[in-house]
Amino acid sequence: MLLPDKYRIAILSAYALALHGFEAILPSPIPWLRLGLANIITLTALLLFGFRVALMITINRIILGSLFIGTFLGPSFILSFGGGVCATCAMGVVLAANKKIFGPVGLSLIGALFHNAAQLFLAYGLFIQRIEAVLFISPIIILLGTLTGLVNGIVAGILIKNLLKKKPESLHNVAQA
Amino acid sequence: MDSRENYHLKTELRNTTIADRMLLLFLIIASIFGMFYTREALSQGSEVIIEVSGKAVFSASLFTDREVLIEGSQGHAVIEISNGRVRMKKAECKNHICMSQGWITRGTILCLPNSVAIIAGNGMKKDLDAITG
Repeated sequence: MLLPDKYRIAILSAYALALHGFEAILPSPIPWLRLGLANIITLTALLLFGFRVALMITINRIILGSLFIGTFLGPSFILSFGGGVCATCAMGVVLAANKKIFGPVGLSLIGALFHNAAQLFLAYGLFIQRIEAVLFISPIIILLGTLTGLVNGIVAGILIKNLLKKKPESLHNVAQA
Repeated sequence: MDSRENYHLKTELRNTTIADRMLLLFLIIASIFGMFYTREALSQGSEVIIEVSGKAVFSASLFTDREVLIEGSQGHAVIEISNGRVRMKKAECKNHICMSQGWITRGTILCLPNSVAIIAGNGMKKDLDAITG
């Protein structure tokens, strides 16, 4: 791992953590609905600096975030961790398979889908064990996740384009990534 | 830098690939379809519970046709389950409100004089277990 990558991981983790914390204090009409704003940072990192940086940021964000909120190693931490890592891996795999077919919006949708799928799977395996309850809630969660994923993907796309335009020299290893 | 040179929502939406749009459309359609499908499938898997004085004495699927004879607090009650519906067929109570309620697929038939309750289509509990962070 290059030294600039370490700085990037640190600063992008801080951004992700700030969004994660900001999201936690936002009032939400449905308690379990989360916007997944931190995924904007993960997606930006994935597209600009590669899969390893994005995965490190996700892990840092979830561990530190849960330490601050006080859910470390609790059930919601396990769900969050599984969902976050699964989403990042899915986006990484799709991006590695084909760089052209999906833009930021499509990748964000894939991330949201896998995040929710992993959470539902973990929730079923570890906590709920009532398949009808999980099946009942799945389409609703996936629909809401698709909508938040769409918004996050658009924001990440705008962010990436503006970053590339304004500071191309500071992103010099983008071409290698 | 002039803000007009920056990328905005419109440009970003225009720059989505065909695969992006297909995926979005597919996810939305699949989840809306899934919502209806699970609702349908769950109501089919529902069952009927018969309680006498608050205690469950009988439970069965709504999709096995049968007649059940229940001993209520005042007398017999005959409950008929047929084709996903349930009704109070005969009841030894005064006013027969329970019988006049007819067939139901979900909900409750109560016969207060006889202390018999027929509860159909087990209601899903959607309690909050945890909020993920």
